[in-house]
Amino acid sequence: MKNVIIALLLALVLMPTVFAQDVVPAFTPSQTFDVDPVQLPDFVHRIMMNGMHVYYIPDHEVPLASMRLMFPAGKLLNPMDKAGVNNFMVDMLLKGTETRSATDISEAIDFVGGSISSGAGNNTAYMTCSVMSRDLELGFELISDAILHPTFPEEEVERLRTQRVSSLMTNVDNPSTVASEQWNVWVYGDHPYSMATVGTVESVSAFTRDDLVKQHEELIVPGHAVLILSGDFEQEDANALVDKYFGEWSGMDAPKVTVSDAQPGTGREILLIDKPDAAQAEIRMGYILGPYNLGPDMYAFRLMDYIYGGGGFSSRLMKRVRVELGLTYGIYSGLGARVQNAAYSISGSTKNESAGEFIGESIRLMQEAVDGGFEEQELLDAKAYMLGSYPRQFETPSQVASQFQNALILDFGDPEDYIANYRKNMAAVELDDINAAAKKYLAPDKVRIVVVGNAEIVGPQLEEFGTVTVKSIDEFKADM
Amino acid sequence: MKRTLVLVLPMLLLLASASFASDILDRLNVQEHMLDNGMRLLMIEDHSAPIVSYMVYYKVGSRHERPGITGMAHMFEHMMFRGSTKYGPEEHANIVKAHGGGLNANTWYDRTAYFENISAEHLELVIHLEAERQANLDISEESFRPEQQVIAEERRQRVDNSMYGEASEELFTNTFRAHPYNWPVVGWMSDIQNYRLEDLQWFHKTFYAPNNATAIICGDFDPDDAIALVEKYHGPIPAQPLPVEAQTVEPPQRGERRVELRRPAQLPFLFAAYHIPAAAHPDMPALNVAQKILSNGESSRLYKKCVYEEQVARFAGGSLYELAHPGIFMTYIGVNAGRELEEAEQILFATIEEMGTTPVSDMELQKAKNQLEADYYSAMQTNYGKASSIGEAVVTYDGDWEMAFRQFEATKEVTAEDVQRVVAKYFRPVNRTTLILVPDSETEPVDVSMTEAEGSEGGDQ
Repeated sequence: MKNVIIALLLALVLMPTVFAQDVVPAFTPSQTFDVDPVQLPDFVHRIMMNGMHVYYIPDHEVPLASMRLMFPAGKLLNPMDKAGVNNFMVDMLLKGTETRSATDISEAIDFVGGSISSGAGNNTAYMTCSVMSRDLELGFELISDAILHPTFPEEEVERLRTQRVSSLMTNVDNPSTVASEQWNVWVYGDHPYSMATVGTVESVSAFTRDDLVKQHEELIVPGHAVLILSGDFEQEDANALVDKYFGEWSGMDAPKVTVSDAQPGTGREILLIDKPDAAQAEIRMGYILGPYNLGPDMYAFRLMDYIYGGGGFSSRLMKRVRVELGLTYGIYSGLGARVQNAAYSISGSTKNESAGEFIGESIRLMQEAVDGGFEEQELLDAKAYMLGSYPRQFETPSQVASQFQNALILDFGDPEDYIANYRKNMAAVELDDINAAAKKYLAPDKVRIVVVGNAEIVGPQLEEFGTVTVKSIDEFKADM
Repeated sequence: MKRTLVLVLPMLLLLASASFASDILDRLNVQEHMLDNGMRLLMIEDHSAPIVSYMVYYKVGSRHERPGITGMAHMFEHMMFRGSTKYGPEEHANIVKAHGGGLNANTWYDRTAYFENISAEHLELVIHLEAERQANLDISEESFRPEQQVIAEERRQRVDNSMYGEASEELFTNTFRAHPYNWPVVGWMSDIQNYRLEDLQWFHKTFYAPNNATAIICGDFDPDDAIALVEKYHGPIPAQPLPVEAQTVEPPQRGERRVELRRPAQLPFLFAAYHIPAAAHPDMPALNVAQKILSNGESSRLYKKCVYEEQVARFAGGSLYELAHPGIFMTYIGVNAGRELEEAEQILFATIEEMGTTPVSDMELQKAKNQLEADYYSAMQTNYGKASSIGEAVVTYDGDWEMAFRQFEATKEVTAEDVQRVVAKYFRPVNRTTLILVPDSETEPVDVSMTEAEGSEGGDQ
């Protein structure tokens, strides 16, 4: 009897094990490091008489083609008292030409299932067009007409202004937008990068048609234009289209950019923007670091950032603040893509009650990286990701075009060389290099912070980090 | 951002409706293999680059939940990263990334989807990892409590701290009174805060059974090798009895429902929903064409009328929620400064209803068809695009993924009369729920809880 009971007890003890039996075979992968150059399509680079650079990147897998036309310098060529004027000007190019109305243009591109988008950001003014390959010539025709023959009709200027001012007014209702935009101002002060890309209610209300005409004349010139064509086309045909639609284009020399460096703020200053009904605190923190292309340090810096905060779930920030503490849905660091005076930032959101802990942990982990460096395995994993994920950034023709664009705009030198050597350069980075990069580039004492949240709850948590300025969100209505 | 809860349905269903459906099927050449445990494998070869996408679709979305455990499907989208017998919390993601892979997951009304994009040489690794968390997930107090707080933060970020998120939630919950599409995919906060371990364990055992899953491989691989690998890792996992799905059908709406949301805001906006049939319904091709004519591009009717001509709105448009069960057409308008919501609303609804009284032009009809074709090609550019199009079709058309292509084929035949007929049939005031955002910084919600804390039960947090 006793034995039976023991047997039963044993069975009870063993049963869960039986049910939880692991039926999935083990597998040990090998961590490989492929450093070969990625396979690029056969592309052609051509410099036209008018100075425009053209890249042709053919790929026939899917019958789509896209063109992106870019003008470098972006905000650095936007007057400080007219925030958003370049962006507005580029959008206006599609609102009327000598032979087409705004409606003609939208009807034409929509009819073929294509799309055109435009804008002007930190580094470029641009216009892009995607079409099915059978409609490539139409794309050329519309883009070339918009670029070369815009008329900026008064009625259309007012129409776009009305829409834009209303949209900008609502930005103040979005805590995430307020945090990002005001952190830019908090970090960049009176440098052009502090300007909001689309402008503010105040600036957009003020600029005139003459401002747009002037910006068009100075900025939209072939001397610094870059056109990247990608997708399903024959080289010869595309070349003929470029000649036909951009061959006659001439204009002033490329504008000279003369902007002095941004003055980095000193010490830890905190701007707390009070939004009493906020369900979360939106947090942005960081400082101006240097040019986006850090020269010989670039690869070590990227690996270091991946491990500290840029690598999503692989990063120390995410492991600590999300996975261990459950304080946020996501926390990310990164170097903002600006040719010069790029800022390093950490961003995320957490409930009002834990804003201080979010900030404190981020700064503590930054200090820890500076003082203690990283582990060899962390570097291996980061490298494996950077090297292994690289080919997937070349899956579609428009991704290839983006890679070319980044190299050209962000000052990485010749795109082909940059892409060919990327993995080799990344693979060459050693632990000492990333530890040195942490010491050189991570600066916990320089972190400037903007929080949008409920000030009553958040305020007391911030005092330990530096001087706190509190403002009501209502004060930003015209600045958004 | 990782682990995205999809709030806007990927256009893929729509896209998966391309012209030349039979041509496309030939070109995609989808190969199929059924495992003995009921798991289905669909394969699409593409040897243009040495990369591969592995996706697993589980037929479990928010509609498979019940009151009290809302958001649990989405909770599992997170739990699936929290470790298993062989791996610790988040190790799945770290291993994939340490082999150069990218990964993510998302949850929707009808399904939860997981994917890895990685070098072709690592296909075995990701199949192994997906099988591991299908069979051996760690569901314990230690693994789920911290994640509960992460999801609470996700909800705050997406809904509670975002007016548009809040408005969508209000719209759905008032449009669906009986059907489980009523509650938000992310779940109600008090449910998120109070999940019980037993419910989580039941949920995984039930819905993460291999016979409730479809795997899709797209990219550079050999089908025989792939079948062998899927058999090796997923094959031994036992099937489970699947639960009977709730059969609740949303009763027909018999009058417009109007809802207001009061928040501190600079300008008003309006969201409205019309009930439409399930994705497989024969009226859906015409509704897809109608949606394009109403909302695709600056020459679309809603943009042109509301934003461009009348200048009453800063944005206006509409989108279809094509779901396994009857979904909605959602339309929206953001009112410009100095204009009245009433006027904007009147113009919006009049523009939509006009399409029910007058046929659209041949040009508009052709434009819509061209746009559908271009959308399709865009989705077919990547392995992930192809795999997810097939996966969405599997869960939306009750396993019959080819139905997505037949529905698309049918869009080619849609006539102006068809468009007029479906607009007149579905986009009527009696079938509409209208939500308006009223700018108001004074009105506070009334607290009726026993304590002020969220979720007064379950004090173990």
